[in-house]
Amino acid sequence: MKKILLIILILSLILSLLPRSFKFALTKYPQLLLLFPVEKTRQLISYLHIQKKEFDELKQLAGLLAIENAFLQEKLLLTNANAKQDEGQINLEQSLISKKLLKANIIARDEETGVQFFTINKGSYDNVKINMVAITAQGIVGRIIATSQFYSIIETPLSPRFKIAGCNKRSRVNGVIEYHNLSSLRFKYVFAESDIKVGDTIITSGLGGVFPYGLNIGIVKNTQPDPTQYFQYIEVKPIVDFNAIFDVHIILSEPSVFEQFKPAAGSRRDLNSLKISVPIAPRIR
Amino acid sequence: MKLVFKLLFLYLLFLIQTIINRPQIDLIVLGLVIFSLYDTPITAIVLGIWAGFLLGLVNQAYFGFHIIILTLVAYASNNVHRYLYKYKLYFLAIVLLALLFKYLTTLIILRNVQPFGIWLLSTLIMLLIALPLENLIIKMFYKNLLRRF
Repeated sequence: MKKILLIILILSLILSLLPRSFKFALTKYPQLLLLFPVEKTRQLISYLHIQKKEFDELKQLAGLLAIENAFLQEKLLLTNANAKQDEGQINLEQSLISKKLLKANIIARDEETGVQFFTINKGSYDNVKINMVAITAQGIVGRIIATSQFYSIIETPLSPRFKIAGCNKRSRVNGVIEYHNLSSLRFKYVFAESDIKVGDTIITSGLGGVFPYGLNIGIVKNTQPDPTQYFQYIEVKPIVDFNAIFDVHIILSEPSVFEQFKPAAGSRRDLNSLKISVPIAPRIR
Repeated sequence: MKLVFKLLFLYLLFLIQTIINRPQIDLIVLGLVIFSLYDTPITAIVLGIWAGFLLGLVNQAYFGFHIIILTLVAYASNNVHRYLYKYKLYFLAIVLLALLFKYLTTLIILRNVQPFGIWLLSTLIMLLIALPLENLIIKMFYKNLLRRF
């Protein structure tokens, strides 16, 4: 046995001392054959990696285009109506088109409902600030109510404390969007005689300064006169399916816009009652 | 026929090891040590040559060196087994020695190794998977041996 081993070792030593060109020629075909699965698997992994990158880029682009589309649709509406007095309100340079988006993944949801508060993996390190707006290509997701270095918490419109100034995209009737239940919203303070129909799209009106104008909020699901006979009862179904989103885009706006706003105290109380806190552990990069 | 399956199993370990790449886990050395501990000296040497040949394909410039190293590892593991191999602790010690031997010889002869810290990390990972892999190989190839125990 020792002799066999010795012969093998001597042969291997000779093999290893041969010129490189000879070694390359010797191993060319075995390498092609035996490393074929490795090569194919690596190609597949590389392909999937590139596809994922392209997918993320396309998602971001879709988000931008959705905002741009909302803006352009509104502009078209105004042009068609010859509402010259309103045209001055639209300034391309200040529109959403010029704003930057930051993609963030949802890493946690509130335990009780799963749709009222989301924790995302972007924080002050990525210039995310309180009151910044989170969107998807479909529409509005919520606003940032708390941040740490690498994480933030988004409050969605399905939270009872959340209110957005909205307007009907078709008739431009203004009102306030509020929580109704965990699957729908209320469009409140709309007069009984105002023009609202089932199927109308409710968008952000831009009033209040936090949410930019023109983002989709929801579709009118049901309308009926309010028991007070003064306002309408309007139920709105959110456009975004809060149970089925995994990532959002944060609109990175100028800090000065947000510095004057403080997060609602009620949201803080909600977070405390739900025992939600912003993770402060450093992210492993 | 069993030898062919053992060669194929080592080839499978080699494929997994090459595809994972980072951190570099020497699954093939682990598999070789396990086979060598349970098998005959001739089979151990054949498997050592095969494992060295496969590793040489990835690093063609040093084709041949790996055959020497892994054949020696296989032969040594097979011999040590007779004197030492009674408990799982010895098995882990033999794996550790084999890896250290490969690391040092590669360092001395080829001067082309991963940093010691990374090697240590991959060695720890290998020690963690050593026992499950050993169980798997025994169940697949050495059922009779298991009955004898």
